[in-house]
Amino acid sequence: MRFWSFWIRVQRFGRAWHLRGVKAFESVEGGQAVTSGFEDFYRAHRERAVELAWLLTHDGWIAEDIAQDAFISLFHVFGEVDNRAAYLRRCVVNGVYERTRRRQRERRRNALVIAGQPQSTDGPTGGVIDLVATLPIDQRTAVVLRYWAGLRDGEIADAMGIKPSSARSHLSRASTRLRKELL
Amino acid sequence: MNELNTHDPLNSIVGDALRADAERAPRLDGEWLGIDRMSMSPTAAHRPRRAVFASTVAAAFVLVAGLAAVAITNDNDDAPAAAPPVWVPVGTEFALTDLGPASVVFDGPVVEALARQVGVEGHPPLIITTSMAYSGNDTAVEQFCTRQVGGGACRADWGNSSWSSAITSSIDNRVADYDLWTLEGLPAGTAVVSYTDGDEQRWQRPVDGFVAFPNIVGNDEIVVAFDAVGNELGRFDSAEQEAAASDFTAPLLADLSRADYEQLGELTSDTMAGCLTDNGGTISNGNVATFPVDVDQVAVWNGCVTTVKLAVTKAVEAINPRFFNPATQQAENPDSPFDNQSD
Repeated sequence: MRFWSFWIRVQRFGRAWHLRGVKAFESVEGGQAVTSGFEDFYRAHRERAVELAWLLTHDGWIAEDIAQDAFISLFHVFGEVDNRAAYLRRCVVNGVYERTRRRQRERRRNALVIAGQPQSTDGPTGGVIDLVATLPIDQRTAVVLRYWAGLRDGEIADAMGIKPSSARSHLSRASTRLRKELL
Repeated sequence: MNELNTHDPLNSIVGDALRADAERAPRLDGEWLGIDRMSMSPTAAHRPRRAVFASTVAAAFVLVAGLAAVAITNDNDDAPAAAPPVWVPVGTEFALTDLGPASVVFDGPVVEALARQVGVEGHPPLIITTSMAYSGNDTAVEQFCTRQVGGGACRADWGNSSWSSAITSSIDNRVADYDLWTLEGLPAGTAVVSYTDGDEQRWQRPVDGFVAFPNIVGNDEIVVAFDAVGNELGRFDSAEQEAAASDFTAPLLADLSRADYEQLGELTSDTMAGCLTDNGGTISNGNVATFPVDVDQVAVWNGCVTTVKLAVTKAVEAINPRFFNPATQQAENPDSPFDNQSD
């Protein structure tokens, strides 16, 4: 459960309009042909999108929301994007970063330490996953995109919106840490 | 590392673990259903504006009719004395249920008179308490907490406002279909509170200075506290939130070891428990102190707050830690290790 104290500027979590309650789609700009193609794309990529968000957040509900947000973002530009899978991946990573930043701001602004924090039922399962979860968000994202998604440096950089050299740097630091702990 | 090296043992160790972990991810619905988003309002999902307008007009009509009836009644000197008018703001009532004193609290020990349970339909009970905690400062703080299923928020006694708002994580914690926007510390004499959030207009009678409304739009809440006849007693809106946030100054934090921090926390609760017991209280397993009926529990509590603060202040002074500003991470002492930390 999150609660914010008032005099510490309240950060909204964006739950006011919820994405799980999607309604039947009638007609939106782009027409039926685009919609039809989108549905196929959605069926083909929905699992990977949620899995990526899950691996980076370890929160089932947030992962669903991030993935839904990403598909909605893609929907609006579906006919204009060449590499739709890369675009979707970028949207998911952006969603994760946005959530992470919000939580960091909340933590900074909550000067008062509050006992009885939310009880997560979806936390890491231990071992390697626990270790990955302790990596900074940039390194964690790079690791997931490399070792789970099997992406190359340039693709990781595209997904994270950074330079390839920066992606290599994140990977290098993360790998050093993981080797030290695991090998 | 430029590309994925399939001979790298890290690839199989980390890759296998991540693939196994990904199996635990939730699954989206089978088909793409569209992009329309539905309101989380528990009672008025997608309520059209004209319905809001109609209900507003109807409520205004009822109000005017009621006032007219009162005026007519007052003109008739021979008529028996009418019941005082019941004033309510425009909008829909969103009622709370007073569930009485809480028997189990998360921030204890507390006195029964300052531990209340409030019910909201479809939600686990909200626990509102006044308690004490050690939060890393030069002494313990009195705090005013709102909690639901273990999580919660607390306002400390050093804050610059007597009100505090919060939003529950009911959705995230899967205990309800919508989050609640809560406000505690309402002005004395508040009989009814209006709540405007986008098109939603609701009102509520507070329980022990506390109100809770469905958090629908979540950006521009305007909450107004009224007395029984409609006089405004206080207003809580974004302007006040901004002003309070800009004026906010947190007390210095002590650079303590984890062991010291935990000991000071235990000292806080142990001293409070001892003080309450010494004053006739019996502390239950739920950390709530009950007293004989003739004991003024609030007076006992206030006296014990002073006792606890003195004890914790002495203990912190004995440790003699360095202090730093939590907002800037800058130490009061220039040799502090916090000097190089960035936010």
